[in-house]
Amino acid sequence: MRRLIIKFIFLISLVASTYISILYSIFFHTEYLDHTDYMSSIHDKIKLVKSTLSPKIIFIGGSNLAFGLNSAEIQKQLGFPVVNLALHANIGLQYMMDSVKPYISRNDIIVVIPEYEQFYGTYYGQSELLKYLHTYPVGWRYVNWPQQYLNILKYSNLLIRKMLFSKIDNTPKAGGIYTRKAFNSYGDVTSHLSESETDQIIKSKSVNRTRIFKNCPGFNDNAILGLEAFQSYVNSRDAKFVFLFPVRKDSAYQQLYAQHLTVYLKIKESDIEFYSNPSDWIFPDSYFFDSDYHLNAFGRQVRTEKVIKELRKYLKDDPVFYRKHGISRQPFEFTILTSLFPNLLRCGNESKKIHSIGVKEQSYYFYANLISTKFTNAGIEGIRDPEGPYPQWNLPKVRWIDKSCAKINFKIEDRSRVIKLTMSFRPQVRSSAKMLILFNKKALKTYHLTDAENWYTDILYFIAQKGLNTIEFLNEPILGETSPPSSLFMLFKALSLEEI
Amino acid sequence: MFFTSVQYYIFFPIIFLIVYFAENGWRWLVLLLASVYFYYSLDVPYLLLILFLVIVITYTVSLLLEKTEHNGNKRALFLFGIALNLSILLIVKYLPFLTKSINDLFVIIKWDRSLPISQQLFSVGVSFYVFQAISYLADIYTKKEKPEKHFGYFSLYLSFFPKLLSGPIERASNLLPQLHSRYSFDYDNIRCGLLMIAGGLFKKVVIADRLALYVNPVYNNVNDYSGIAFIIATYLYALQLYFDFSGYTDIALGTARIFNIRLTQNFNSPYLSTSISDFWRRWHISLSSWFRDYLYIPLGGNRVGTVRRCYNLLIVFFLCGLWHGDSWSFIVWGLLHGVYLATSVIVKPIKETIHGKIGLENTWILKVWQWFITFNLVCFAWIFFRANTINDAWHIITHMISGTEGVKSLLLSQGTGELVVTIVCLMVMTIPLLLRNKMDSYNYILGKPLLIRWSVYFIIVLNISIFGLFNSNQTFAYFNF
Repeated sequence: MRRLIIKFIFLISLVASTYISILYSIFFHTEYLDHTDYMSSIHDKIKLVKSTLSPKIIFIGGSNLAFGLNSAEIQKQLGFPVVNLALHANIGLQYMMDSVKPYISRNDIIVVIPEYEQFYGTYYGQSELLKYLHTYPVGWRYVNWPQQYLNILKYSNLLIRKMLFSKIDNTPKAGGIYTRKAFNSYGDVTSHLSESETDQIIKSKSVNRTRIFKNCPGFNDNAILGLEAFQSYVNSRDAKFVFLFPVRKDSAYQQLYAQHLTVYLKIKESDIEFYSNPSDWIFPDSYFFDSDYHLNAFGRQVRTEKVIKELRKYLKDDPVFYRKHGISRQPFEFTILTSLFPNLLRCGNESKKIHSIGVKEQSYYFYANLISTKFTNAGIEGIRDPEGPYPQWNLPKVRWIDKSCAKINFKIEDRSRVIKLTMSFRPQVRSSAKMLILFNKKALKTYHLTDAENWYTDILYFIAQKGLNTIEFLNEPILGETSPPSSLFMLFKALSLEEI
Repeated sequence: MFFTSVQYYIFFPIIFLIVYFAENGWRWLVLLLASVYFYYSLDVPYLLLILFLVIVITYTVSLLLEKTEHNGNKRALFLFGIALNLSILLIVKYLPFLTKSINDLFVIIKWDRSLPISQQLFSVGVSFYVFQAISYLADIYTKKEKPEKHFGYFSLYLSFFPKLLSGPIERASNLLPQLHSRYSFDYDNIRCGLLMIAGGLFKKVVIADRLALYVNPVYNNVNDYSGIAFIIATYLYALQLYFDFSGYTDIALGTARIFNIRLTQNFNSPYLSTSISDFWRRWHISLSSWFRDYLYIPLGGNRVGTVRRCYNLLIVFFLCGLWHGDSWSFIVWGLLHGVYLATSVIVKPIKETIHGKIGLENTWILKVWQWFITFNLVCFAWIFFRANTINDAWHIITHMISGTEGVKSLLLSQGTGELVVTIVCLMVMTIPLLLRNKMDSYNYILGKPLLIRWSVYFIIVLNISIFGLFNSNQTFAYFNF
C-alpha cells in the first residue's frame, strides 16, 4: 500500500509540475497575447474608471451591459459621467465586484446588472476569468476566493491549448464585432450596431441557451451573500448601490422560467434593494443580436431609456442624495421612447392608453407578446405566424389577419376565469375597416378603424367558461360597402391573452 | 457524480480506503452504502426508489422461486417477476413514447381520442439493472444459479456503483462470488485498475468529447450540411461512440478492479469485425450476450429453420433497438441490424460457395473486403442511432452524395490545432488496435519495462490534463440508454 501511494504521488507530482511549468511559461510570456482582442479592452476600461471624476455612475455586469447600453445617453440624461466596466459574464460577478472596489468613491452610483447565470454557475468565473487575468495580470490581486482558483485551474488547459495551437491555428487577429476597437470611450460595445438585420437574425439563431444552464446546475446562494456584502460595502463608502435585473430574450425567459423565477425569489428574500422585476426587462426576441443577452441597436436604445427611468426612480427616492452632496443635475425631463422612435408610438389614443395601464403594461407593449407564450393552450386560426421586425417600415414584430375571420380558441380546465385580451392593431392594405370581436359567439366590441397609420390599443376583460372558448375577429362592411372585402387585412403588433 | 467529475475522484479513493481498513464482514455494507450514495448524488431521488423496488422484487421472487416445487407455479412466479421488472422499466422509460405513439396512431386512423402524455423521467441506469435482475431470475428459474440469501449482498450485486449507470450487465455467476470473496490488497490489480481508469478517461475526455465537437454540429443541424460532411460526421460518430462507451467501461472495470472485482469486458476491437455477427460478439458484449442467452436461444437459436431464425433475429434486434431508447430511430437501427443478420443467414451458403470457387477463402483480401463491408454497414446503421429524428436520418441518407457544403467549416470549426490533436489521437488509438487484436491492451503495457511503463503513465495523465475537454458537458452516450 505504501509503495503504491508513494508511486502514485510521484506520478501526479511529475505531471503537475510539468503542467504548471507549461502554464507558467505561457502566462508570463506576453508575446502570446493579442492586444487587439475583446478582452484587452480591460486596459481601456481601467484607465477610464481611474480617470473619471466622482460622482460617477459605474456599470458592473457581463456582456448584457457591454452590448446593451448607451452610456453617452445616460450621461446626457442624468448628468453623471458614466463608466461601463462590463465585459463578459464568465469573468464572474464576485471578481467584478471585488475588482471595482478600489474605484468606488463618495457619491458614486454603482449599478450592478448581473446575468442570471451568475446565480447558478458563473459567479466565481469560468474560462474568461483566466483570459482576463492573462490579459491583465495586475488583476490577480482581486482573486481572493478558493473557488476562483479552482475554476482557474479547471479552465487552465484551455489557455495552454490556445497557446500551443497559436502557431498552427494561424487565425487572423481578432476582427469584427469582438475586438478592442468594438468599445467606445464609455466602455460600450458599438461595433454590432451597424450589423445587417440578416446577419443579426442568423447569429441570434445559433444561441444554445440550455447548454448555458447545463453548466450551472444548482442555485448558488453565495451570489446573494456576495451581492449583499457588496451592497453594504458600497453604502459604507457613502456611494449608492443600484441593482437591476438584466435584459432577457422573451423566448429564453419562457424556456428557462424556473431558473429566472428562482433568482427573483431569492433576491426578494435577501437584503438586496431592488425596484423593478425580471419581467420588466424581458424584451422580444427581435430586439436581440447574437445571444439571449446581446441587444441590437433598437433593443439597446429601449433598454437605455428604461435604465435611465430606473435610475431616476432610485435617485428620486433619495432627494437628500442630491442636496447633501450638492450635485448639479440636468432638469428632470420625462423622455420616452417617442423622442427617439417617433413612429413607434405615434398614436394619440394609444399613448394615453399606455400610460393609463401603467409601467408594466407599457413595457409589455414594447415586447408585444403575440399570444403563444403567455397562454400556452391557445389555438389560433386565420392569424399568420409572427414576422418582422421591419425597421424600414417602423414595424415591430407583427401578426397578420388576411382572412375574413380569425379565431383564437383556448381551453379552461377547471372553473371560469377572468381573461384579459390586450391588442394593438391597425388596418393594413385598406385604409379603413370595421372589426367585430365575438366571444363565444356573442358580440364583445366593434371597432371603427379609419386610420391605417395609427395603432389602436385596447384591453378587454371577459369571463371565460370551463371548456372551449372562442374569440373571433370578424370583418364587417364599412359605410358604402354592401359586403365586406374577402379579407380583414388587420395587422397586430400586440396580442396577448392572460388569466387574471 | 459521473466518472468524469472531480467528485468521483475524491469519492472512490475514500471508499477504497474505507474498504481497505474495514473488516471483511462489513465490506459489502461499505460498498453498498457507497453505491447508494453514488446513485443518490445524481440528484434524482426517485431513482433510488426504483432501484430499491427492483432489488426487493427480484430478491423476493428469487427466494420464492427456490421454494416453489410445482412447475406451473414456478413458471407463473418467474413470469410475474419478469413482468414486474419490465413494468418498472416500461413506466420509467417508455410510457411517454408509448402514449405518444398511440396518440399518433389515433391521428392516423382518424379516431378523435388522445391519451395524456406523461413526463419523460430521468432513467439513467434503470435499463441496465433491470436486465441484470431479469437475467438473475432466469438463472434461478433454470437452476443455473442458487438465489443469494443475504439481502445486502444481493442489493450490492444489482447496485455495485462502478457498473450501476451503464453496465456491464453482470451475471450473478460472475459478480456474486467476487462480492463474497475475502478482500486482500493486490498491488497488481490496483495498478491495472488505475491504468484502466486513466485510459478510459483519455478515451472519453480527449478523444470522444473532441470527436463530438465535429459530430454534433452536423447531426444537430442537418439542413446546414450535405454530402461529404455527413459521411465524415458518421464515421467520426462511429469512433466517438466507441471511445465514449469503451472509455466508460474502462473506468468502470478499472474502479471495480481496484476492489479486486473483475467485471465483464464489453468490447473487443469491434470495428475490426469481419461480419455483423462478429461485430455483435465484440460490441457491448454484456448486452449482446444477454440477448443471445435470454432471448435468442430460448426463441430457438440456431436450431430452427432459416425462416424462423431470421424472424427470431428481427425480434431480438427490434427489442435491442427498443432497449436503447424510446424513439423510432433506435428501433430502425435495431431492425437494420436484424435485417443485416437475417440476410447474412440467407446468403451465407451462396457466399461461401462463391468464395470457394474463386479461391478467396481464408485470404487476406477477403478479410479486408469483409471488414470494409461490415464497418460500413455498421456505420450506416449508426446514422439512425445518432440522428435526432427519423426524418433527420433520412435527410442524411438521401443527401450523402450531394456535395461538399460545410466540410471545410466543419473541420476547421475548432481550429487547425484541435483538428491535428483529433487526428493524432485517433491514429495513436487506432494503430495499436489494428496491430494488436487483443482484448486487454492494459496488461500489455503493464508487462513492459519500467521506463516504457512510466512514460506511458506520464503521457496519458499529462495528455488528459492538457487535452481533456472537461468543460464540454458531454455526458457518457450510454447514460441515455
